[in-house]
Amino acid sequence: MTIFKQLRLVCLLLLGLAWTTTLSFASVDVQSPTICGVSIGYDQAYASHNGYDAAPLRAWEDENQSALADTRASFGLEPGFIAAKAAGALDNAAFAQKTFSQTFSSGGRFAGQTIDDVAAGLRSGAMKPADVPIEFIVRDGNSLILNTRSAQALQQAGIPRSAWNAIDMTGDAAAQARLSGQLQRNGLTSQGILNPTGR
Amino acid sequence: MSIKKPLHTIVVPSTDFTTEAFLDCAGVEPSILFGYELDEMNCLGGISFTKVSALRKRGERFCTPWHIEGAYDTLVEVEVARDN
Repeated sequence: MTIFKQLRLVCLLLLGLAWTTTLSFASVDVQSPTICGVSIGYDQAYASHNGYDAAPLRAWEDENQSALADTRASFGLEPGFIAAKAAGALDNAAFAQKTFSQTFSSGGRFAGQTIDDVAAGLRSGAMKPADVPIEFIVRDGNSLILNTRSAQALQQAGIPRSAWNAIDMTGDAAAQARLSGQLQRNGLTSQGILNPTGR
Repeated sequence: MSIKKPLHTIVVPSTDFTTEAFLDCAGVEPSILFGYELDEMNCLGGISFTKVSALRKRGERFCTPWHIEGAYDTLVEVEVARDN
């Protein structure tokens, strides 16, 4: 076999693999719209090229192997899809601050934009919910959102929480320290606040 | 072991700022400034540092729990232990 034939075979195998993978993802979304957040979860948890840190999720998985096995069995999910659990965690999530500014901070991904700008981008389709990650921490059984302005933009755009790109930061010690400071300075308990006020 | 000594906690939670907190190095005294609202009045608050001989800034994303604990919205003096 010449080198060209070998190369062609490798290319065909890769294309076949890509097609199979895409098909399996699509079938989950189409057949089970109630768990459409799973593909987002998969991306954030396992795609090492997208910049997200999968370590907290993997640590959580290690601690909850039996629950994971049950969930996978009941939904017929591949291991990566268990991140859907994280998306559901935001359903009743609260905030860790009483007020919020309309403009995003200059250090973040939406620097200089307002909540209205991001909400408009989401409504028009220029931006997808996956582009607006929401970090949260589970403390004392309460889910607390760390990205207040991003969450407000998603709410304003009418995106259901089940479709938010949820990132569990519970295992991140620095995020935990920031949350503690934020709650304390706002005079809040781990229950947080459901409706912060915009300024 | 390094020790953190709290010196001052800012008047309003940083989540209540009406502007971003920013570092102003234009004058002879570098300052951290921020806007906030008090009794429906817009105010400018901050902390100025005198006799500064050097300055170093760490981005929030690179802060470890040690940098944050006890120092949220708080000016702390850090005393670094020198074992050697």
